[in-house]
Amino acid sequence: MIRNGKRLAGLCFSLLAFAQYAHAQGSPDVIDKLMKEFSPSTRSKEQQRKEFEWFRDAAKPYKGKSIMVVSETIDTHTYESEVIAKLFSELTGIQLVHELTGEDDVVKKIETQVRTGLHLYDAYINDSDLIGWHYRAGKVVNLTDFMAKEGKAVTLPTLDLKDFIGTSFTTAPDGKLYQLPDQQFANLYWYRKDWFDRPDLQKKFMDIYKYKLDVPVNWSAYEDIAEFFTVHVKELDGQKVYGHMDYGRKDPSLGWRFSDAWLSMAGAGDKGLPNGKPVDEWGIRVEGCAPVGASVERGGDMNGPAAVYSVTKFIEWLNKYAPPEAKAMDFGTAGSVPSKGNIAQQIFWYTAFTASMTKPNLPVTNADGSPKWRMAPSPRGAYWQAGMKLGYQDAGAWTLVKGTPLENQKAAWLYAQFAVSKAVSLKKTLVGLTPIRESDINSKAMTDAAPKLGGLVEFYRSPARKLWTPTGTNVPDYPNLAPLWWSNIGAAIRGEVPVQTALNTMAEQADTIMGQLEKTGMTKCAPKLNKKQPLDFWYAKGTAPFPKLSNEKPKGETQSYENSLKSSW
Amino acid sequence: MKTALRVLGSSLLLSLPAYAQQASYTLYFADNPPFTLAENGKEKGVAIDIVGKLFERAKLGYKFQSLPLARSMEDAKSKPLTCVFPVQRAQRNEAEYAWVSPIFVANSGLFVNKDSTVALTTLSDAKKLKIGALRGSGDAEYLKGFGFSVEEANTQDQNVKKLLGKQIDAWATDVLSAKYFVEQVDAYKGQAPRAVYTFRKSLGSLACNTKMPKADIAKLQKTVDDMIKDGSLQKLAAGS
Repeated sequence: MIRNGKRLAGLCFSLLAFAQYAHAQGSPDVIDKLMKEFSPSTRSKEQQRKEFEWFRDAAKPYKGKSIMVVSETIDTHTYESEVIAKLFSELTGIQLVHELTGEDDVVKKIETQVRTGLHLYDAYINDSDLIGWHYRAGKVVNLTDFMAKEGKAVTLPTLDLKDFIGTSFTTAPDGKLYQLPDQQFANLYWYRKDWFDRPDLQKKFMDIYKYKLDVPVNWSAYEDIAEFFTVHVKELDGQKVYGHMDYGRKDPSLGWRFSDAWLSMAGAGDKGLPNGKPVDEWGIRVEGCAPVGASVERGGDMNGPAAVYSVTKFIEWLNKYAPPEAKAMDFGTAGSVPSKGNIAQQIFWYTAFTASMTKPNLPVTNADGSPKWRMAPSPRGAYWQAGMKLGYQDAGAWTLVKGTPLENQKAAWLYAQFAVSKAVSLKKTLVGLTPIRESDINSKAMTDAAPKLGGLVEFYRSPARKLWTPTGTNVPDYPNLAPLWWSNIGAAIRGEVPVQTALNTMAEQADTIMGQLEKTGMTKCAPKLNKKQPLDFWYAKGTAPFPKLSNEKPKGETQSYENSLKSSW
Repeated sequence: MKTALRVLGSSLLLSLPAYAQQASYTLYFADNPPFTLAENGKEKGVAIDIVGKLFERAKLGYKFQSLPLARSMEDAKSKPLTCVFPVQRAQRNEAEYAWVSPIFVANSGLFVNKDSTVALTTLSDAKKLKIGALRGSGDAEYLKGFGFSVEEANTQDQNVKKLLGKQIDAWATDVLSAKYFVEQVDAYKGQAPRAVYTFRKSLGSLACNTKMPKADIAKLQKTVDDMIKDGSLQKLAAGS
């Protein structure tokens, strides 16, 4: 078989048997090994040991069972796959494969299992962005009921759901939990504080733009700073530098660049948290719990002026200020570029990359291990208004698909809880830097680590983290709607169609998909499309979509890093 | 493993149903046993059986054409009314084709000699092993991507021989390929390698030209889903 011209080997519908391994499952030695690995912990030694003993005992009926789970490839999941899964197997005797793959592949696989009923995996770590689909399609396990009924004997008594910071992302409008958060990250502004603090660059920027080089508050300032480094500074310490970094390859990861709240950062949609009401950051208008349209003609904002502005700016900055190779890059290849030391700032930077940005001996790390960079609140576009979300945050979360054999679900649920248990999670958080528990965030270990994490701990300890939110419950069929983003905006980036045309097509296609869902029906809150109306009809409502601004580039505004923490975080 | 360009003869086409004779679609495959191979002028293999049945049930005309791998991928990208199979649907090639998926699910694992003492709890435990894999295969690419030391061979036969001769510690391939190639080696009779660890699943797919009519893609996708739901796809995948 082939992958981009490569062969792919294989075929079979049955899972292989594993070799038996000769561990003394759950012996005191194994627990001692776990205590050593999962240190520090927010639990006392006794509490931690008791939690491990509980897993060992609860797993006894499933000893020898083979379980397969899948997640995307980020540092947190690599640690799970290589360390946590191994120790879980040694503790319980459950034979576990934690497969790592691309995020799009995870979505394709869960969509395939849901659509066809084919049993592929026993559990998925699936982004909470899909909660709107899970809730409406009725194909994933309602964990609230599972924990109270068939899964009660395998639900950790000390799981402490209230300690999780992301359960609001994975709870549907019916108040039930559908996914259990495993890792969480936000999208923030990233910049080279050491360069911004240099007096020679401060003076040069002030001479040209007449305001201070500092953390940009709005997109105008971001744009000026991007131009400053790429066009005016050009070189620093003998190397070519750029004022902006992004990626533009037409593939599924390009879609996340936009569907992960980019439009709302520009100011598309309405005020409201966690998502704008009645129009959210995808530009989907919702009445009650029913999506009623994405196009402006149906009251949505997917192709409104703010959306057009957001995509236009993306393309302009990519073409003018990013390294030329960025246009051919994707999420994976672009992620490590700022760590190479020639990027001044990045408006859309996933904190999931923090661990890789803090490795010693990088050009962006000082000799003492402290970062030369900082993460700060994301600047806002011209259409943004107070009361709107400030950016994107998501939780990769454990998801069980209905139809999976119950015994497999139970064994997989044990591993899921193990990976997020208090006994394990602080160490996992320190390795992967994608915190999920309040107790971990407030721990002394995180305080100690903070100086080397460039603002991550400060962000998660502030109430502002609630202003960075995921896609939300409005998107009725994420797997089938998500490809519209990269396919249409990808065409605009390549210059094949104007931005407005691309977004008109995208909104029309979104309406068509929602119209089909309305026709076929969903178990809950199916779309009910609005009739098409003239634009003035919607503008008169005083909610999104809003008319085009006469000035989309107000004066650039910056603030100090310290003030950005106070005012936004 | 490589085959020369070859177009099926008319004698085969005459034996096909009426809609197959219309030959609306040209379906490229490369020599890749046990999934797709050309033998004595006739194509065979598990994926051939599945895709043929798929087009028959969807009542779409088709003909198979054996082409070298790289050319079949390029042609399906550029020529209307063409598809290539089986292809692993992945993020990198998602935008380049219109997809019908899955036509099967592959389970890839690490195989060791029967007398090997290798025991793995996680895939990372295999980092100490010398792993053999088919050059350019999805498994080779996957393992290399995670920093494994992979010794690539041009054919699976070579991998089998290297495993037998203990030149490699483990062979990374899918279950069906392992079974097929091991059966070709007399020395392995009664001593078949054992699967020591399954490390990933992949969705084998039909990759079609992006200009393919949406209605045909939808029809094929619905047919695949129906074949999975009624169990016929699994039966074909199991070789029955």
